[in-house]
Amino acid sequence: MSRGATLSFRGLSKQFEGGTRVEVGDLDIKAASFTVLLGRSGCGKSTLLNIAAGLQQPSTGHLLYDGQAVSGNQPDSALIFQQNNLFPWMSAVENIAIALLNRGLDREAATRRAEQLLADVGLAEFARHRPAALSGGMCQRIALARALALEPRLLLLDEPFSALDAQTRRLMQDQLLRAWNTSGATVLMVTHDLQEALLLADRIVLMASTPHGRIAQILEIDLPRPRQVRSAQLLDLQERLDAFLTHETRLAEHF
Amino acid sequence: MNQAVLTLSRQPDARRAPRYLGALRDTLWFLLAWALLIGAWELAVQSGWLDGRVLPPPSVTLPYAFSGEAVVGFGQQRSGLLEALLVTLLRVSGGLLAGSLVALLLAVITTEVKLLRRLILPLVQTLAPISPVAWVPFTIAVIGIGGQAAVFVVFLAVLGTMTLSLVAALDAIDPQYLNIARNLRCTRQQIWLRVRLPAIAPSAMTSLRMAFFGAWMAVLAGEMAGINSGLGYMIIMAQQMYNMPLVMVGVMTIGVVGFVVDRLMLLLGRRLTGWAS
Ligand SMILES: Nc1ncnc2c1ncn2[C@@H]1O[C@H](COP(=O)(O)OP(=O)(O)O)[C@@H](O)[C@H]1O
Ligand SMILES: [Mg+2]
Repeated sequence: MSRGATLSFRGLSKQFEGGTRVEVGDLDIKAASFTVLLGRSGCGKSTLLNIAAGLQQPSTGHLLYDGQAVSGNQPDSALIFQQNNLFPWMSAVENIAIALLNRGLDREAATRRAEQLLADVGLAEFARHRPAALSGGMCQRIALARALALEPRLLLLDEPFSALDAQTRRLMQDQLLRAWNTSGATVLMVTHDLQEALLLADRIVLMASTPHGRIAQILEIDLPRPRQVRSAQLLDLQERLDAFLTHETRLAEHF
Repeated sequence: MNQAVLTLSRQPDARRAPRYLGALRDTLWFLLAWALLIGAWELAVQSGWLDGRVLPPPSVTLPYAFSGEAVVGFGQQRSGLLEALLVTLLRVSGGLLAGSLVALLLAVITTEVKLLRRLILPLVQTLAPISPVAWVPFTIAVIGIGGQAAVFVVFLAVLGTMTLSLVAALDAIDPQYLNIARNLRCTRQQIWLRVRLPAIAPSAMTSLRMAFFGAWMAVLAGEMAGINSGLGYMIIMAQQMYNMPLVMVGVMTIGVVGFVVDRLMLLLGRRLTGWAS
């Protein structure tokens, strides 16, 4: 059984007011897969994620969700950004509870469930703390716990660990992999970190920045997890990714 | 090694102490500045540099302020300092509250309905810079003379600037918070009550303090225009009777109360929006 949604973009493009046009075209994402989007900053990765989340509407083309065209608010997706995922005026527990309020729980039940979720990620004692009093890693753990509490069929992550130190990032990656395994959700993640992409992904989608959004290459990473960063295969793949990004940078910067 | 750990763990305390010391130091300087001015004033009058009849010295005005004799009018029109102050404070609060609530309403409407934003904001932008004093003749013509007129002048003084600052604060909310709220399936009402309003609370509190300054000035302008109660009336009457100590007491009361209210609002704001500091 797979809870994860399949996601297909068809002829997708987004025209921005400033003149930038992000032209993705077609892209298919399998149910319960782990896809990483990689590309230079500004190439359109966040735009694609926002469209998948239903937060932005494409200018042309459409999005198929389990084979069905969707418009308007995207059902069953949870989105995590690089930072500021938690509302700074709410405590940790309130930040989770607000998501549960809209899933049929009353205030008291939502608070109790939120406290339990915090305890599950080992942050019970920080329930009444505001985000400013927590570390970046704690905030991202809370954001992940909240996202999973929504039981999403699609988990969208926009550079979720980029602001964390290397050690915290490693631990968060493990936690994400576990969450992906147990939830069965489809994961679409943006990262700048080549190692992170190689450690986590089934597929790495390389996005060009000239023109914006074009899918340049797709790498299938058919290796068992946990993976060793220093394995010959990953080092080889890392070189290919690096070569792609260098080429992209050459084009963009007119080297 | 141990020492490094110790130093690190002591840092927060070391940072905390100067904040209280700083506040204490500021207060001392504040008191010193006033003590110097009052002392210099007293000295200038005693030595004949200043005319004590035009600018009564502190040794006259301070006892006078607390003597219970600081009164204008007779019979029904009689009004003491404290009474005048309370009347004026009530008018300011009324106008400030009404002006802020209507401003909030306008800000919500112009955020929700783009067409109304296009129609309402240009009007507000043009009307906001008009000085409260300029509204007085208009107010007298429309509402007449009386307590409501002073409240209305305050209302007008607050409405424009408050609307503009609230709209600006709403526009400045990080769109990511709104995206997160939508992703969490918050309803429109929840987005207002639990995201937008808390997000703008700190800057709204600052705007309210600014608005209070405007309101505090506006109410006196309103009261000087033919109303027979309040601090503004008291000062005008005292001037007409050439009661210079009373003019002085009135002016000082305006300053001191304005300062105290502003500090109270600052403290209240920090209380309510502690997350932002
Ligand atoms: N709201 C917007 N208005 C105008 N241009 C935008 C907007 N959002 C993104 N863009 C532009 O679209 C391109 C892609 O942006 P984005 O998807 O955020 O890139 P990435 O996430 O890959 O760094 C960029 O060139 C950016 O400047
Ligand atoms: Mg981005």
